[in-house]
Amino acid sequence: MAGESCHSRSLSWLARSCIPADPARHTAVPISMPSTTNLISSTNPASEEEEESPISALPDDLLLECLARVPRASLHPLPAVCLRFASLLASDAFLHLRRARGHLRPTLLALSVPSSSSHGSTFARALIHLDASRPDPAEVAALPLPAPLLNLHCHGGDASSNAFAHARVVAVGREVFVIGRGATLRVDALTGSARSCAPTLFPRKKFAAAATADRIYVAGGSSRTAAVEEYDPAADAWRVVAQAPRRRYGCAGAVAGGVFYVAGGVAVSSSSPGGGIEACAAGTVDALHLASGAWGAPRAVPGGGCVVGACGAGGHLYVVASHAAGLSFWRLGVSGRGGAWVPLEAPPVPSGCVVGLGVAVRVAMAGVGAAGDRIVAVVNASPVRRGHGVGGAAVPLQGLVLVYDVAGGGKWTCAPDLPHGFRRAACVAVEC
Amino acid sequence: MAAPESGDGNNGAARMVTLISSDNTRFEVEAAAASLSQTLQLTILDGGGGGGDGIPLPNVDSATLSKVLEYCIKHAPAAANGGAPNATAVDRAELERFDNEFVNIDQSVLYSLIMAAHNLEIEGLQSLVAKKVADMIKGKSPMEIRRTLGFPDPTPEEQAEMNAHMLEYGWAYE
Repeated sequence: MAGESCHSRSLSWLARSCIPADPARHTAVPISMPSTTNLISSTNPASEEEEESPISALPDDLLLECLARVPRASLHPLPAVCLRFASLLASDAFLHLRRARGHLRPTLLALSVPSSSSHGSTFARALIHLDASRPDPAEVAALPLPAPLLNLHCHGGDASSNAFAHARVVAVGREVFVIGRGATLRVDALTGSARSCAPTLFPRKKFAAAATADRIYVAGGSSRTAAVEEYDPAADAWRVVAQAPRRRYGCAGAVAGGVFYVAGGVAVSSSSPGGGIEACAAGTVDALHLASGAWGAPRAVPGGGCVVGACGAGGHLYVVASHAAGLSFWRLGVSGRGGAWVPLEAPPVPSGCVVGLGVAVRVAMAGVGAAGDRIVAVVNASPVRRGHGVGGAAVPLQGLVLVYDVAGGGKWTCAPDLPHGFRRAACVAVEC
Repeated sequence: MAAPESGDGNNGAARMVTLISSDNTRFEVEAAAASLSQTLQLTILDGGGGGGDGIPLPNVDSATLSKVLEYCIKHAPAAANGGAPNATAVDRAELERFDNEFVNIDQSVLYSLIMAAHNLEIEGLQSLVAKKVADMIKGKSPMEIRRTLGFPDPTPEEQAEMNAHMLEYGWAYE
């Protein structure tokens, strides 16, 4: 009888599953058949109504209202409760409700995926809120790895065991894609639930990656191909959309104003199988116009620096370049053909940390929020040769999180550092 | 407190309305309290619910309606002040204490309240009861949530389907 009342709402077996077969108070571990429906003389004074209606019998929209109010730290077990929960949590309605209730904040999400089987069956997620007003400490959670990746880790050879060692990470809406060498992980930023999806057509390492609202683009990171690949999350499929003018390795990617930028790194030759360095491409930016598939003329960042980080925000390209001494920060105005580089305030580096010759600098950057009025940059710098020469005395810089406020006068502020264990993590800005 | 209609109480300044539960119990309350319900507010503004007519609520039983009205009567003064900008901290603390106590109830009562708050569109109550459920979920494992919210045990087929899904996502299903 109660079964029929539930049936109309949902499609799967869960419709039947949510029928109150037992009073909510029963404590037996529900594995086998419930022995008897023993309504142990409830101390409930309002015993006029005999029907027991557990919360699980609520219609979807009302259950969603409840789920939307669960604190984020308690969200990750929820998709495992039942398939109905999983589909409710994955819905756009859930995201909209959480936004309406003020539970979504601009956040830096850092993912640390184990690079070999020895690291176990979980990966780690750290969240750092980017609200300057509320500098909370980072929220860290260990999350289970999907079975296909687990198998890859456990049974794969040397090639696959380091699939995520230099992974790139981009966000499409609430979904975060961790693109490794021959493996891709798709993580829901809100619940942390992850599953594996299609790897890039060509294996890549230290490549450029960036996302539009509904597509992901990758380029570089291989001496064997110049192909630029496009990923459609809905179809879970990659395809080649262009051939890059240079085969860059160690490059950064960004999308801004309908252009996919591939910046920095070194250009490798296809003729020498070992991937010999052909020419220094470190200070230039290649631009692929996504609608037409045409490449613009390469643009060199002024001042002769090497591009070490790039992102798009509010229709503009932003890059960080490293120089003989220090860093510089630029915006490329894309109004009209070409545009011009605008110098901006350089990211502040703490005193005692040397950034310059002999120091390898990596800056993971991302535009924050739909309006792109802020930019987050995660700075890592370490001496190229430890204990020798120039870099030896320098204090390495690890997991420094900086936020640039585009709208509020162009100033950098410090957010909490990435926690230990996340120094090499892939970072992306999300709303969660 | 809400009381079954007995004929008294129409002599005061406050306008009273009568609400009739699904099991035909009559409740007489101040219009201001009943108007916390968006659904009732329209009827009341139209002049309904007064005199001997009453507003029938076929979806709400008397036990639930009496609980709903307890909430409305408590919250009506603050609501009348337009969200009570000048409410004292003591008043707010008192309302908070009342709310906490109010949702400390059996799950089937909570279920009925959620349905009633939704049907009657009482915004504050809707968010109070949803928050209560969220608190019941907070910090629990999937199996604990299943137990807490009264999910029945899955059949072996359901379990198999769930397991396949879990495997894809790597979720541990205890």
